[in-house]
Amino acid sequence: MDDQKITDLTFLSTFSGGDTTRMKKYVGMFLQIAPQQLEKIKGAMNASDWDGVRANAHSLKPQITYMGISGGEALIKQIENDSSSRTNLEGIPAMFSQMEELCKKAIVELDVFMKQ
Amino acid sequence: MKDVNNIFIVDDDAVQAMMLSDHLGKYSYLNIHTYLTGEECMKNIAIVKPQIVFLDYYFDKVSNTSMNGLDILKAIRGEHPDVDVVMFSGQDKIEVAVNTMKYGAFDYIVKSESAFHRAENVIFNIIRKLKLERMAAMYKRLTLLFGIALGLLLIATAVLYFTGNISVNPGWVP
Repeated sequence: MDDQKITDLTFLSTFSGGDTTRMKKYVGMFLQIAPQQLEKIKGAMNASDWDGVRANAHSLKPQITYMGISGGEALIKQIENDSSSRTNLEGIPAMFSQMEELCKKAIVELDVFMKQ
Repeated sequence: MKDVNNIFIVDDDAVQAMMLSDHLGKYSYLNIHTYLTGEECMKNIAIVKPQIVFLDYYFDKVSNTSMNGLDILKAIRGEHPDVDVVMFSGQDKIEVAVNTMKYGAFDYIVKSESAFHRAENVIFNIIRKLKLERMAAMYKRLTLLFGIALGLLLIATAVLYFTGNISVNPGWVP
């Protein structure tokens, strides 16, 4: 079943004191920035610019945490570490595809939240 | 709590910067200034005179001459040694933390869910530190004044004694 939510806004809710307007501010920023970050990672990956992959993965990492994207934090950390240490470079595209899929699902869920 | 009233947040991650700014914004005595680059921070630091700078460790380089976190830390500590810098980073590596402390960072916070409370605690620690520094300076001044007063008293006593105005026998003993 694909009904299981992959985002968990518990942290954001606690952080915002339950203020949904404030939560939507942060979610809105994530929805704007995350696709751009993912594109940057993809571009860097395709150009074998592993410093670029590392930098953009590093930037995206805290936002993945704050949006509570299940499994996302471990993936983005792995992408960051592998591109930094230049190990398992051949595995990065597969991890990135997974990451991209997760983020797409997260964006759909967060869009629904924004419309509430 | 008036020792700290201006805080800089320097981070190219707009979400992170906004969240930290909002979290610290609940303290109405704090004026929070947010900058996306080290260059903007350095332009404004002498004008605004913050007591604390929350500084991201890693910046997405706009150009080869763009400052990274360590560059900004060194610049701030070199030009404004009275400003306390707290490094923020997504890296939880001890060697990175040690390196920033080596260059004068007051503290190092890993970007995580607990980072915001840690930032609050750091502000309170810095306020306490500033209070202790003020008290130490005051005690130093008082000690100096006391020393001067005591010295003058001793000199006056010596002068009076040698000029015969006072004697060893205070006159109580017949």
